[in-house]
Amino acid sequence: MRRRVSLLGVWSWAVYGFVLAPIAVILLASLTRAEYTSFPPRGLSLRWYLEIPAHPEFLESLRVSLVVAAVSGALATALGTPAALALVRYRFRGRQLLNGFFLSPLMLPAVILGVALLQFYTLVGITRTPAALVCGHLVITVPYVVRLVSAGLAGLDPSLERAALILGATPWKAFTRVTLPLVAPGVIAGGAFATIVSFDDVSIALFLASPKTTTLPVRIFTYIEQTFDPLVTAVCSLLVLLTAAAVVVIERSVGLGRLFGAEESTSSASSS
Amino acid sequence: MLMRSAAPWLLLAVPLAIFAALFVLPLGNMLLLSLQSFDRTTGATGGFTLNNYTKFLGDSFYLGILWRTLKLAALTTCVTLILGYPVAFHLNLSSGRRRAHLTLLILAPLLISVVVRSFGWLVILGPNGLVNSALRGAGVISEPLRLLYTESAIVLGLTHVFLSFMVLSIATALGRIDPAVVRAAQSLGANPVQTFLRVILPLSLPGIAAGSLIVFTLSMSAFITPVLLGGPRVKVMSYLAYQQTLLLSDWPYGSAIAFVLLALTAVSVLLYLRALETGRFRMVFR
Amino acid sequence: MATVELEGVSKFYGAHRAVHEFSLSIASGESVALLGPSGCGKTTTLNMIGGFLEPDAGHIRIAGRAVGGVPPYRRNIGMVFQHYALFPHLTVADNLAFGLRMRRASKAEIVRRVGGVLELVHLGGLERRYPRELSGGQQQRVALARALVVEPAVLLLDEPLSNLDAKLRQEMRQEIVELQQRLGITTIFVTHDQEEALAIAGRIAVMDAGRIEQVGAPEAIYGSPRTEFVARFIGEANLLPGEVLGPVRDGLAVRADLGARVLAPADAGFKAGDRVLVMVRPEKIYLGVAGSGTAENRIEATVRSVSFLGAVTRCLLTAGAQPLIVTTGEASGLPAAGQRAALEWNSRDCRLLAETRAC
Repeated sequence: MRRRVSLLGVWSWAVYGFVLAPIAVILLASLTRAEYTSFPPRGLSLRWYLEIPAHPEFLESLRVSLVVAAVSGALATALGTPAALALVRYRFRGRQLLNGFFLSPLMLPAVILGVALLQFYTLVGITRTPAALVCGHLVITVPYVVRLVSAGLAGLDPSLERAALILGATPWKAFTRVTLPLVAPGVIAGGAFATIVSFDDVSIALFLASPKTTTLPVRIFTYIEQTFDPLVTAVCSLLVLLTAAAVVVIERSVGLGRLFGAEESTSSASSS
Repeated sequence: MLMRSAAPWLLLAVPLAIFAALFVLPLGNMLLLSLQSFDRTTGATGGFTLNNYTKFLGDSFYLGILWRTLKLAALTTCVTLILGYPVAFHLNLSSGRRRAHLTLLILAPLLISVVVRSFGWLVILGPNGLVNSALRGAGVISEPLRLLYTESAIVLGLTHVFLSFMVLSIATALGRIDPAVVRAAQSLGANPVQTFLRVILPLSLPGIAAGSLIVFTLSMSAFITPVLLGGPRVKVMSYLAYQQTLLLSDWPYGSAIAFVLLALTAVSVLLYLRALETGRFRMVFR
Repeated sequence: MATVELEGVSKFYGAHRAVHEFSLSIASGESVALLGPSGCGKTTTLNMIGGFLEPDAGHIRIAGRAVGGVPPYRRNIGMVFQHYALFPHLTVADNLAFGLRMRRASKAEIVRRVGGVLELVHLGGLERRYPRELSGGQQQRVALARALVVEPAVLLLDEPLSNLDAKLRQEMRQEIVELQQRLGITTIFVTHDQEEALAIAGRIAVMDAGRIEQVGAPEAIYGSPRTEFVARFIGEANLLPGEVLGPVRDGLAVRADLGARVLAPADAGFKAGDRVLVMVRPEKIYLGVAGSGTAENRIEATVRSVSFLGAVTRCLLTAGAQPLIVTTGEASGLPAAGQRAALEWNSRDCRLLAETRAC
């Protein structure tokens, strides 16, 4: 079995390299001194990072992205958590259907949502406002909150709350002192994830964009469609570093692997 | 007890209402629009017509784009499966901290915006990019190869974006296999290859199926990656919807295209699920 | 059918010694149980015989041939796993045919042997079912059949009956014994259930913390345990600490700490001055009226509780700090809680054990 593992290992590490390559390439290419983007970079300098403040539209887009992401994340958590509670804790008719309903936007092509939302918001008259972006993002972030909080709740033993009740706690106390602390990681994970998804979104934000409401990914996208000079590689690198920082924070507090349910295989070396 | 049965609905009331308003209404509106006509000066007219759909389904150019979208999605699914299965197997063999780190390695890229990830491929495949520079430097070619704006570039980009889903799906399924079953196969005389082909692979089918489904549907509806790596010449359905809606302002037609894409994706999923339920290893999915 | 020999086999997990210099010879056709509490190393030993683990020291031989480094799929063994490990994606017939296909048997032979083994375990007609559709008892039989159909040299069973309910367990115990004797296949099984070991095995190796405490036939293990651990693990035991006085008549005189004088069977291992534990099984003690006679092998105690358990009645008594257990088939005429009683036994029914670890 040992020889197979090393062949497997080589393949796996090659694939991991494949996964990380584009990101590494951008980071390195942003350090070029030349006027055009190339890999390997010509010379090493931070000039393109220093160029960024001269393009205030990127900073403005970053601001828009951060605000929209923060608000969407918070709202999605506020909406998704009670929904998840209801779906996991209670048995009622239509439960499965509602569960599917809350998760269904993830199945839809983002383009479809973009088109539909653009048309509808124009009808309602709220296009060209950050509110439109937030509403649009809620559609794709609430499902993640519902899913993550549900997963966290599903692992929760219902008899814990019952034990608290028997010990004399009121239903409200039992909920706040027993259930809530235990479900908190799922809620935080859901909120963090919702924020990131909102921040990263291009498809919906593209359709709802206007000069005042252009998120950073959309700005990058439209820029790249015309030219890809090193300036945008520097902006992308900053985005990568920002995301990496967020990932580290989340990993330290909640643990990313658990979010996606990549389960531990049961150990095969059992002793008895 | 009455409180009990009303509780879920109280919790659900607000989220459900808001979600429905944000989600169902726009879709409904889009459906209505797709059944209207478009006038260049006044925009969408009222009325009811199936013109948009017949226009699409009757034109070989548009059908060609539909076919290409399907083809690229299927190719991406196959490539992610082939690339990803060994990675999932390798991931499943590890445990503890190493496993956590490998999982993070696979997951973290998902959190970076797809624009940035696909842009990276532009830098790698472009005329001044990694591949061309390497080949030029090695003296293999003198003129840069045209790697971008091809269907292969799109498949490459999509594979990169969706690989993690396939890996995690398969790894989860592999993790559910009872190790005793593997030992049982060995005790009965199966060497590692036979054990893999006859026991592990069939039992990992649920993961392969789930991963394939996710990658296929996501690839069908992918937008940013095909646009960046395929360019305006190599169009896919999503781009068409975008072009018609945003660039040409023909909302009715754009809506119709969006719905055709939706229908196509839904039908593919249903056919796939049906095949799983009646296939040879259907017992594995129960 | 083959012999199995383990010589000085050890297995370490880091600093923890899971199995320590395990040596045992198993004759062809013999049925041996590895019995002990969880963590004693019995399953690790079984896995080493099966080839799923390699010993860190020592040798294992199957049919006279050293199997170090030989993977499980080349050892010609059959194994029944604790939770059966049936292939969920294959029918019963395909499960059974698996090993035969690995051995490249012809289609006709597969059909014949699969049919045969299904009859053997009384499951004829279930060829097309899937494991999920079978009851626990049926799954167990399929697991057994799957291991037997390849006619292995050695049959290994890992806690085969622990997942069945009591009644089914009794039935399967009987079937396994009959099958084993009929086929004459060398069998090694692991269990923590002493009743199971006593019922099925021809010889029992009692294990604790990676070592063999005692090996012998069930009657010998039960009737003449050689260590305190074995005495306590198999059945129940009364253990009275005391000191050997010296040989007397045809036995050894011992003075129990409680004050009583004990006449035990002669045991070459003990001499005057040795600290010992006098072991008497609860069913070998007679309860009598307190205060009569000053015979040997007799102590007085206070009854704490009397529990009627159907076939036996179990009395718990204390003499000072010493707990005592007496079981009897009588249901009436027994002293009540709080009363004094006299416990008497025959000298041939007690054994001496070295006083080792603290109770």
